[in-house]
Amino acid sequence: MLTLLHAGTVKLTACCAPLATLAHLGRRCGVRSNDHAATLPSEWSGNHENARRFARWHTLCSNAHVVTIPRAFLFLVARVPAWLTLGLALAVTSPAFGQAISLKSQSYRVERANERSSSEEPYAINRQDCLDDDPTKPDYDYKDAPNGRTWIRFTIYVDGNIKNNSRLEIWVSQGADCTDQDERKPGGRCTQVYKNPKADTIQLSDVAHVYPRIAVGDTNIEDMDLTDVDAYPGTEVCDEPIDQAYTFYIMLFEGDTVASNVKWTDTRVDLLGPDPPTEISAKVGESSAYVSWEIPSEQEDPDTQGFALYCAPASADGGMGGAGGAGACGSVLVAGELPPGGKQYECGTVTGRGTREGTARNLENGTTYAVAVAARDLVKNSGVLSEADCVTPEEVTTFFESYKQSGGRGGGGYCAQSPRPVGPAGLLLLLILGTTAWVRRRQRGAVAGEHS
Amino acid sequence: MTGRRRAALLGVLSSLVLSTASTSHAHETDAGNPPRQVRVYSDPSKLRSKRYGALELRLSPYFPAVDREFSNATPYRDAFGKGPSWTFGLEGDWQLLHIPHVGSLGPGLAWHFGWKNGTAPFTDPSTPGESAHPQRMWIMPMYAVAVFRLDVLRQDLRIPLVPYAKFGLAVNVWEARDGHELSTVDDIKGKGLEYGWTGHLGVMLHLNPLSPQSATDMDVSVGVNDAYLFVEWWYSDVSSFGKGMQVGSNTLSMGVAVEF
Repeated sequence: MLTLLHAGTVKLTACCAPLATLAHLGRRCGVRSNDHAATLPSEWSGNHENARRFARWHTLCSNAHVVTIPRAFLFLVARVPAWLTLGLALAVTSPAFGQAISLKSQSYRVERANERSSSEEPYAINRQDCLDDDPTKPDYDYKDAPNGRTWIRFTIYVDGNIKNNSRLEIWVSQGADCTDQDERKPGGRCTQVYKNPKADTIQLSDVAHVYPRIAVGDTNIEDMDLTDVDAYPGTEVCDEPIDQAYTFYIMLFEGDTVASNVKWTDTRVDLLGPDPPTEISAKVGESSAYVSWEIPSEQEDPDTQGFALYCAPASADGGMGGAGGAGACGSVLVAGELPPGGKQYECGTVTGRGTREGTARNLENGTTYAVAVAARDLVKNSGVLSEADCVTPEEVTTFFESYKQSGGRGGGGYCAQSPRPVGPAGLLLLLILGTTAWVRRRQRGAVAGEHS
Repeated sequence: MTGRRRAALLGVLSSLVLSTASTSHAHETDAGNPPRQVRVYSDPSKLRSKRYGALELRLSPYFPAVDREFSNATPYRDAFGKGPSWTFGLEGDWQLLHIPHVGSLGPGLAWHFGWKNGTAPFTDPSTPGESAHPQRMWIMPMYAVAVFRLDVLRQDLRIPLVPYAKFGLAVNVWEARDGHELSTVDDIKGKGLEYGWTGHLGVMLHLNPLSPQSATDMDVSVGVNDAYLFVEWWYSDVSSFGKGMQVGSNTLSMGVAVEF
């Protein structure tokens, strides 16, 4: 039995809880005064409820195995947790608690003029996004720059005290851990794509502009002069055969130490389109060409979601297979190469993997065109061009044109020949209905007469 | 229906009715109730439900008479050729009046849809090659008619034919398509709604005698009294009385019909 000898009466409110715990452990315990008599706190006397509470305390604490607990120990037991809590709170909120700075969350969005629906993986960077990262244009803003430069918006929320030596950086990789300092060194697999535009200025809610060509290329933004347009990665980086998941590391540095970081893993960079169709055939229409193609079953690409048609005028001396250009009809469309000039030569699109025909529009009658087809994937990448066919749109006379030229009176819309409220036709209808109703009534009358 | 088959059907129906009646009679006698009088129909047609109307599924080679507007031009034939525009349709008739030993009379409503594809020729006939420029015209013929069916042959003379006639108002909606777009000439849209009149003369072949038991079952189970094949001559003049495109036709129509 543990016996701690100490003199003095202890307030019941201070001792009862720990003693109850001891009692629960099987010890018989109590707190007594020096004369070994239980002392009832004065405020408990005088009524029935307090007498009952005392009886309960007495049962718990009054027994032969007395533990006498020093007053100082009980004082410490009562105060130390409160001191610890207070100290921790002060430490967390004090400027000295500098390591608590952290990134709370971030959001990601690709700002582009050519919006993609949720089914077209808007988070993914396709070849067009890469091409549209044109450093000569202002960053895309849907309010006033519909043809602006494509960029990736990271909205970053910072929590905690920002120090003077804090800085925010975004690094990207195709699999490396960019929190590893070695991966961020020259020769490492991470590329820096964002740094604070001004050192030592981090907002609690910060927007970081990340440019697709920098993410796709492998030059750290730290080493680039963004004001030098000529030194910016050219469109050739968009021709890289990349179809890979990219991980962005948003990191808060304090000095050379990564104080906090968050990862964005939902971005896919896909610059590759599907394989092209074969057996292209273009037939003549007015200001248009009607194009059909085939895809051998062994060449079907599950990534294909549709097709894009490309039309390029034949060169003046081109003609069928002429030498004015590298492609068919002397055009700029070359089989096996990516469509030149982004959307410049796109003259039609169709959706559906099984589609085998489409219409090329907005062509000039009398001009010979090379027409080629490229398959498109889910993120709207066009693959390389098919062989091209040559076609010269010509003026045609449609039925309605012929009808009107012949003096036909029809057309003009559904209400162009609206009848008078009650014309001959209306009178005829009324006559039919009236006669029918009259005969019906007479028949009923006859039946009723028979029954009566 | 042959006499032997009729007799067999009557026998089956009579024995069915009689057996039911005798069972009921025995039961009621056992219970001490007076026997119920049982009525046996000598004519099984009286067991059939009443007819209220008819429904037709129609198929027609439709020849829009567009070229009828012109004395020296054939724009429709030049664009779409001589072949028909096949239309399919539905018609519902209400047999408002049943005239004993004559037939039925009542209003009917019909809707059809059909289209014709063609290729627009080059404006300059000397242009080499062939045009692939597609064009299309679709027509939606609809009408409200009075329908008279002469049932006396089928009902009284046992000849399984029902001649009929329909006459009434027609409304045809049409649209001309250039490639994949609505044709437009000088801001005049290539579509319209024309009205006029329509007339039909036809004959229906009664199918019930081919399988009388099935016909009876159909009536009992779903209320279909009679089934027919029909063919009719269909003439319509639908040009908004000369103010619009003539999209009436002179053709034959065929299909199946049921009376219920």
